[in-house]
Amino acid sequence: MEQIAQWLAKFQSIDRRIIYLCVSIAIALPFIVTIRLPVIPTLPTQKFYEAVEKVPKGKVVLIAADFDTGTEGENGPQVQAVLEHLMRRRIPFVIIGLAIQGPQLVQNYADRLAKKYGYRYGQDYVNLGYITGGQPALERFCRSIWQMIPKDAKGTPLSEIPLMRKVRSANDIGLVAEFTGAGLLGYYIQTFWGQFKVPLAQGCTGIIGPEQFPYLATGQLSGLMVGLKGAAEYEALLNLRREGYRRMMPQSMGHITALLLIFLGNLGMWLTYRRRQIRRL
Amino acid sequence: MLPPISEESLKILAYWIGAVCTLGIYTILYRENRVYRTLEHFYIGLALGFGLVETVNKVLDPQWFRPMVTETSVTVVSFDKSPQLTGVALDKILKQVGDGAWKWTPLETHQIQITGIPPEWGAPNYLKIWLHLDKPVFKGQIKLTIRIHNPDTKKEASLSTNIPTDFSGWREIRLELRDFSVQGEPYRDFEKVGKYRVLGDVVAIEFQANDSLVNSGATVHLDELRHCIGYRWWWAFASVVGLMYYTVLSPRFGWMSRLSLSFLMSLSAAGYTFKAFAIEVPPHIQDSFRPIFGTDFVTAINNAIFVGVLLCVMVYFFFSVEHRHILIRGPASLGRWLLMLTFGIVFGNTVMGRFSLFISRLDFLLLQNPVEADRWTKLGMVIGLAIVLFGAAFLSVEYERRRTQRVAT
Repeated sequence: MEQIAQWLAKFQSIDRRIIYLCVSIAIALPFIVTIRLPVIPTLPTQKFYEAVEKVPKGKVVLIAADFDTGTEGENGPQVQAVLEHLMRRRIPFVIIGLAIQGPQLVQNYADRLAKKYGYRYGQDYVNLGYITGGQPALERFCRSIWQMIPKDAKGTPLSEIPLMRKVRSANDIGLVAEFTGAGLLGYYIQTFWGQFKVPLAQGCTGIIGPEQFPYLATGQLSGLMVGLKGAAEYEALLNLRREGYRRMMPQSMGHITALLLIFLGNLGMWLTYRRRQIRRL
Repeated sequence: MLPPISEESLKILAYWIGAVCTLGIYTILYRENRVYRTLEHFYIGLALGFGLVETVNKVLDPQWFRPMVTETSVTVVSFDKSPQLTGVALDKILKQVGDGAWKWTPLETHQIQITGIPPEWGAPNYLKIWLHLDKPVFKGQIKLTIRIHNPDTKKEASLSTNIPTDFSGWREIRLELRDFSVQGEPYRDFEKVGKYRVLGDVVAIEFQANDSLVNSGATVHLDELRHCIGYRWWWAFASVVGLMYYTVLSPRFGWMSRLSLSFLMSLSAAGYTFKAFAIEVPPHIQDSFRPIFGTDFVTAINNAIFVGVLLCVMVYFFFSVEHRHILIRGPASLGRWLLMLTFGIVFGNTVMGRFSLFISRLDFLLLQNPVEADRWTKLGMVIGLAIVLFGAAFLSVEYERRRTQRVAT
């Protein structure tokens, strides 16, 4: 017993590099050996799915790609799942971004999926590129897209893009789906939701997830997808097994390892504390 | 000249560059080292370079510089192709812009209508057209009409103006849209907010000669009809405000940066802070008033917990009264615990987020390898590369340690 206690006590001062190695092996394991766990969609993700289902015919979805490569690991699978849903429903979409790399990343996903669903650039989706100026720029965008952005990301005038003929202001947008790792939701609430009554849904990183839930409760958000788990849940709703689902098992393994190490560390600390107390007595 | 590279080879090259960068960055987990530092600089340079090019090419140049120094015009009719209209012919000799101009004889046909033009015009301020008259007709006029179909009212509307013909030779005519007389409702409902007026669904352009011009027997040449927004020279002042930010680098002129900063902050405070509060916060306050009685049992319990937590946390942040009395101390203490619980949830999500980023890189390393091999070979390749890079990191750390020792002795 004493030996076990001594061994467990070592977990308090374990070299961080050993922890990294353990977590890395645990996370890498499901990539090599097939391990499966069920993914059960939660209510916020279901609401996001329903918000896409409710987009009226004749309106487009605005994909706000407010993320960059730093959070692509979480936002990337989220966007891909939503794009797949939009393409299945034949809903056209327009890409913008308040982050400089976001629109290009989303267009890459869209181009890849477009081949599968026969979507054509200009007819079914458009990339208007990076928008600078934050909230004032979005307000102007809501009032007149043509005035705010006369050309798409490739430099083609909007007058030469068939899809943009019917997309002129926020009134032509049926849903704004924002994907971000930063707190930019306020800009969209103050413009699209507050002034033009356009429904908003958000895919956010796990870090900012807890801050977004109150917006869901107030109805300012119609749906919310948090982190990689949200992406996996959305894929489950679409009966898909892609990046979100594939990466959930490593996620779970990582969590189990972290929990196990926390438990062993605490157990070691408690046993050391008890040994000290016993020695004092 | 570089040898041609197949797409497959390019994919493999891109993958291995990505793999070296990813694993090289992860060598920081061992210790701060030269491999990590080199790749970190590479990443920062790449991100900065991309950001700079995007900012210049997609923001500063098209959205600020060009609108400032050009008219931002779009050609509506180039008059370069044969018109297929009676009394109008393509003239490839007497022209001003492009391949040709239309030679119009009003005596033969007093009105021409051009369809098949770009329907969406954006928000122009004026039109420009090149006109040539072989002789001046002082009482003559050409009525220019823009025909629009408004999808909101489902009715036709038009904008028209008269162009005098009291000159001869070529002249570029500028027609201010605000001077056009309006028949019907040409603008869609949502586009009438402030000055944002977009001309969309333009179906035709008409030129109509009046009797004086028709009877004069004059010949008119038409070339290059454009709609333009116009030079926005006053946007140059934005650069002055922007450049004032850089005076922060000079101790002598640093005060100027505060001017531009205060200017933008006051604009933001006056224009957006109140709006942000008015739109964002009231729904949250409203949502915090939840019924405990008169609803079903489960909702009542949920609401009671919500209201209880809200009150406890608010009591914790209520510092006007000392937290001594049990009625204050108890809820405040509970509020602190609940806050800690929330921070724990946030931290848990942060860990999840960091794991996700690591998983996405592992996904790239292990599953997106384009080399044709079985999974174990691919795994071996990645592990081999990791050993090489971590080995290099170890050697660089050792080298730096020994050098420091040498310098110390």
